[in-house]
Amino acid sequence: MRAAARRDAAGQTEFTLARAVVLFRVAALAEIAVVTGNNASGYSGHGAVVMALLAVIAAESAVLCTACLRARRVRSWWAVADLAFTIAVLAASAMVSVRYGGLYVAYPYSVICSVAFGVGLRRLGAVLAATAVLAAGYLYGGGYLHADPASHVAVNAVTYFPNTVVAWAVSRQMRRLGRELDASRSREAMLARDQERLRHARMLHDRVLQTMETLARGQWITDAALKARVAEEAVWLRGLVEGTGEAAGGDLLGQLSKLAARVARDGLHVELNYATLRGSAILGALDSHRSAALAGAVSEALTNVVKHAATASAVLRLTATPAALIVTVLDQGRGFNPATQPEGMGLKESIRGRITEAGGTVRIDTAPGDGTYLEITMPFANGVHREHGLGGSQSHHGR
Amino acid sequence: MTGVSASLAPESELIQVTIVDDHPVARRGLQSILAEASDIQVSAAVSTPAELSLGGAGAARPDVIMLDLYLDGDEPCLDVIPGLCQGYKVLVVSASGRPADVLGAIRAGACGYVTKLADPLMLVAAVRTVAGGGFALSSQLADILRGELARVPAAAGTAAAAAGGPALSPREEEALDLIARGLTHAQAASRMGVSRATVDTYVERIRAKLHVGNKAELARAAIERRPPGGTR
Repeated sequence: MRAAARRDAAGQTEFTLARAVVLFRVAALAEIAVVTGNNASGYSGHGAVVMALLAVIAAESAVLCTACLRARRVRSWWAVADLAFTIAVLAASAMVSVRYGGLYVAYPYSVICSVAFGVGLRRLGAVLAATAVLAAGYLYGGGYLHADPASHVAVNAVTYFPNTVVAWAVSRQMRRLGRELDASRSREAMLARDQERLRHARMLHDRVLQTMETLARGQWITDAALKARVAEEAVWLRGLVEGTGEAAGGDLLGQLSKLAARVARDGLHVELNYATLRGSAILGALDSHRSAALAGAVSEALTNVVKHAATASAVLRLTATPAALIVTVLDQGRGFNPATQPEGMGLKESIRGRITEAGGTVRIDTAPGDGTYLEITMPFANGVHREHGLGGSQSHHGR
Repeated sequence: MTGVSASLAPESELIQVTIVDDHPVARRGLQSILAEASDIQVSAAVSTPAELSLGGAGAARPDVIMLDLYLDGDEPCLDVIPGLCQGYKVLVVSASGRPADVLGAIRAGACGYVTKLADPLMLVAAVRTVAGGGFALSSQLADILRGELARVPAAAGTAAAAAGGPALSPREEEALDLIARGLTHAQAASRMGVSRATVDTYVERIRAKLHVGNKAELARAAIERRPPGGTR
């Protein structure tokens, strides 16, 4: 909130308010200078005392104005200190006026200066209290010491209130607008950054990525290791440009696309489909424990496809109901007979054990020659999670 | 209503495919994948739609045009799709899987959409499906359509559905969900206890609903099709 932040709209607002306080103060000094000058004849040889009072006032004003302009704002405690000084001026000026003659210049001076209290103090209660103290100071100085007529003094005392309250209200409104402007500017900047990122992602996606993916698939690269490497990098690049690489809705997507890259090295092409979750924050509803269990289970499932299914492709799909995330792995490979072929260690421990322990369920649908379908249902941690556009889409789940 | 299926072409007739892609490496890639399928022949591979000599009397008429969605630019070439679809079956192939692109291509009249990431077998299957008059639906595309069509009734309430709006029927939704899991039409059919042809019909209806779903888009497409005395 210091030097660096001063160029923002909130900082500019504070500076504008500080300059307003300085201008009011300059106007107040000019007024008492003119009034005192016009009444020079009334001081009957005691001009030195009057000049000394004016000099003290001018010195305090210079300190305050310099502080305001340097800090580019009005601090609350400065307003409080200035209030105390102004009350002292009200009393001193009354005594000078009574003893040596001349006008009671402190009153018009204090009326103009009171604007600073409305600007410097942030809360209405503080502003009203300060104004009341100021009015009391004037009642003492003008009413008691200077012995002005009670009716005049009462009206004059009330005059402070509109000044301070209006100054407070205007300052508050300006500060709020400044904050709003800053917020909207930062949103704009964020949007612009996103746009730029998307533009780069798009260029990488549409030009570099498709070349890599083509190379990873065709016959141009004869070195198997190099080809696997290209395939792996292509999956990594796809994850980067699609935003799955970094914390986009939890890092489950990132982990899954890493898994896809890993098995691409082994020749298994995984179509990762999370179309219904794109741009949604739904994956954030999963805690890290559940995410880790899912990633572990999917890793094992894909490893099983590589080892046993004798197929080059699989579909990994993520979708959601209002209450749970559904992750499925489907391959069109060899399949097996679950009745005669007991679930291997991988299926039992790494998939079923992991998921059940994290509160999810696993369903396997397979038959020899008919591929394998694995479905994991993982409830969201915090009970029901609602997401527009996903509700109701799972009510007709084929079994 | 049944029978718009993706059966293999008769042995004597090869599926003639024309590739439109500005990316030479991608063209080679698609050609090499399709070359492995004995029932498919790539008759031409060009870099822009303007190079297509479709009207030529001697030119072999392609059964399927595989069109790259991003032809040398930042904007998808959705505007050329309606014109091509007047006389040809268009399968859109792109590196992009952005839902807006996918929906735009299908609404413009494309018979299918596969990403360049697609598995070679899937790509070949999509060509066959489109050549046979079907709608090639991948796992991702199925989910994108599901998201699109599920959103309409949620926003407009049951009034839209009553007015013949594009809400999915429970069976269509089920078919789409099964396809989104990665099942083939035949596998989805056996899960649902219906024939393969019935699933094809569901898919055709879903495609039709997409067009109904956006009247403004339809109007736009109609305007674009109207010029040189177009009969539509």
